[in-house]
Amino acid sequence: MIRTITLTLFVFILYVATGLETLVGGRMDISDAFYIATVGLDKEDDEIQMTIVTKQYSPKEETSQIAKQDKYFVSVGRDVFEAARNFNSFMDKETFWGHVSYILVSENLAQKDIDSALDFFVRDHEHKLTSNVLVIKDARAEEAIKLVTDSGEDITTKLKVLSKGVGALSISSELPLIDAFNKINNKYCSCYIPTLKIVEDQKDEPEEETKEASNTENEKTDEKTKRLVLEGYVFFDQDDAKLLCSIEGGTARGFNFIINKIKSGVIVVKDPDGEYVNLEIIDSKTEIIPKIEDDKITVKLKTKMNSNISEIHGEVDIFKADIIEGLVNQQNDIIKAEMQSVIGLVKEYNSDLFDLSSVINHKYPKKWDKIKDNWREVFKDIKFEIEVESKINRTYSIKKPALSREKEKK
Amino acid sequence: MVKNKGKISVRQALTLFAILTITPTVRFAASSTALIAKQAAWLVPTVTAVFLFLMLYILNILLQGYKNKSFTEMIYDITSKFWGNLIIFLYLVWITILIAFYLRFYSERLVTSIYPNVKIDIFTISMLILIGFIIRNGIVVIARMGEISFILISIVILVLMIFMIPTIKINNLLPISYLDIMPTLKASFSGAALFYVIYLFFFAHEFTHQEEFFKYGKLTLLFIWLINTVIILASIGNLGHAIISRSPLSFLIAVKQVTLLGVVSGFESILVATWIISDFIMILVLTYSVLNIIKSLFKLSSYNSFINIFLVFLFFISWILANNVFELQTLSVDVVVSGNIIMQFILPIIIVVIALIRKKINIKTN
Repeated sequence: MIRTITLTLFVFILYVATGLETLVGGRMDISDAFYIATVGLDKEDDEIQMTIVTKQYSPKEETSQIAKQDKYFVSVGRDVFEAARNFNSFMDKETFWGHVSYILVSENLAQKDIDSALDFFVRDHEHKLTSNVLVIKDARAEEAIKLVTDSGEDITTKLKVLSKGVGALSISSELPLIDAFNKINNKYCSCYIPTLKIVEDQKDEPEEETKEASNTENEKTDEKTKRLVLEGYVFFDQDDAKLLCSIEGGTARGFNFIINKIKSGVIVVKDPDGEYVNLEIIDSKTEIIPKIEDDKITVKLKTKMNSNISEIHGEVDIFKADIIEGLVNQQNDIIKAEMQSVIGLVKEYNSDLFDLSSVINHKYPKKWDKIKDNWREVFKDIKFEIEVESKINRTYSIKKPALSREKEKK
Repeated sequence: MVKNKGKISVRQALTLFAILTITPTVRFAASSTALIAKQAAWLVPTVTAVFLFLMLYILNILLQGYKNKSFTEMIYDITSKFWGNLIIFLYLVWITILIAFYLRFYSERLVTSIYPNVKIDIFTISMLILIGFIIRNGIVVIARMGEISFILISIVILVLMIFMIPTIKINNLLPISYLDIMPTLKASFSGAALFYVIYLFFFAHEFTHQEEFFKYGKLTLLFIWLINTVIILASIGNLGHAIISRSPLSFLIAVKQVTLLGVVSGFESILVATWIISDFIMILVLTYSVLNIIKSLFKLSSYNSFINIFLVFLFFISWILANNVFELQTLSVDVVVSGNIIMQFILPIIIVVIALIRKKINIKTN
């Protein structure tokens, strides 16, 4: 007991004698920290420019006014870490990196340095590995952040909404930081990262008499005509992680068909009268089936897909076996064409864009062991075959088109 | 009751042994096995368990032949005084290095994972002060702490595993073919280095119910196999063998990925806290073993006067071991694993063989 008291006293005296200095640093008050939610990275000559968007948590955060107080700061450094540290030279609060949800890398920086751009975020102890990575296409990351933040919106929330909504078209997806880093590390397959782009809304040409009147208004709202769109992917070379190519639209959806990241989507086909019939993708599953015969590899991409009819424009009753079959054939052709465009890229860049190496390794481990060192050479001789089996299963609340009854009367 | 006062049961001792394996398992089981066996690393604990089972059987023969005797007494009886002193001295040096190694690793891990700007001395000294306090209370208190810690650690690892199940990718754990046989066997070497049970034999004279050693030993092996397998499965299944083999804190980065309902994260702090508890038990138990060796080697009636000196000595050794964490990691792979294999497998087997030849023990005793 005496020993315990003596030691406690000794430790207490030691602590007081040091001026009550905090022995273990790293403690941060909530009110003294800027919580970084989104990071943007740009290449600025030979330096890295980092733009951070912070969200300040405070008891008053629930009020909408405070919640909108997202701020962004810009810093420059020789590399990502230095740029990150340089924030401390002018910010009035400490930065906390544990809440980063999105890392936006400009295409310019991603061209050559995607590995070093992400290294800090994977290596540093404060970061979480589940942050999503996006490449900003044809624009700077700062521009994208500024566009949203200046309009009073929170870019992190905006990106979350976009990520959630991207499944409706299946032309992009989300990619956590650790998955991106894992793919960059994999020398047998190309790394893909979803892309974000700034698009300008198309404006209708106004009538002559209204043109003059609306001129002033248009100038004022000019900035708001730009918006962020989450669409497509960029690919990086499996050897040196340099930017290889980018895809969007149907090709991006074709890629999602191959890597099984289809959530939903719209396929437009035509009925016998040439009127549109809209099909909603319900589910899709692609099997990558490699076959090795006489040292020659052939790969079959076998896709099974289901859709429902969501909109009919014409008057024809399409719910007949032969018409449905025709629609299914059109659907198959569209999917096949989208997947084929990805195969075209694979051949053009001689790059394993959809991790075929892993499929071969799993099916033919012994064979893979022999060919893996020469994978790129072997890869260019691979023949691909696409097989699509789709079904149109149902429509929803009504069956026949609105005008089909009148046609029957005639 | 009076007879068993100040003693612990074999079950309690083996519980301590199970905790002793947690720290190195969490730190390096996944990365060291993934480096060699790649996607088949999760099979390594099964191969290791076979070796450990055989070793458990051999140690059981020794323990049943020398009931209520410490390992030092066994060595003296089996070998001559000169060889006995030499072997015990070797164990003294090796376990001391091992404690200093784990002490340094415990501090380095905290600095690497949570407190990068803090001097590691603060963590080292606070751990040593705590050890100095607790160790004077004897093995019974240590064993009881071990039992509570065991439950706590098991629950934490189990809960973390449940949270990690949805993110495990089966593709990361396959394919398995005959090509994986040799790498799996090679990787099992590092797993076997965690068989610290022999170090607990230095206070085997304080065990009761020694006849139950093999029975509880098998259960402990089952626990170790399970913990090792799930940790490797979760790590490689989540991140793939390429990333795991490159990470010095492989299981930690796998846990960093865990999110509950897409909102709650930061579970790595729970793992780090659990890790500190297992570090504490490990350093405490190994220090207790060393103090028992000192007591036997120098024919002392009590080791109490050595506690403070030894702890100060440990502090300096932990500094001398390595200049930085990279040297410490190299030491772990190049020296500690091999050293442990010699001290935990080769030397005990030689001792048991000599004992059998000299008919000091016989297999029937089992």
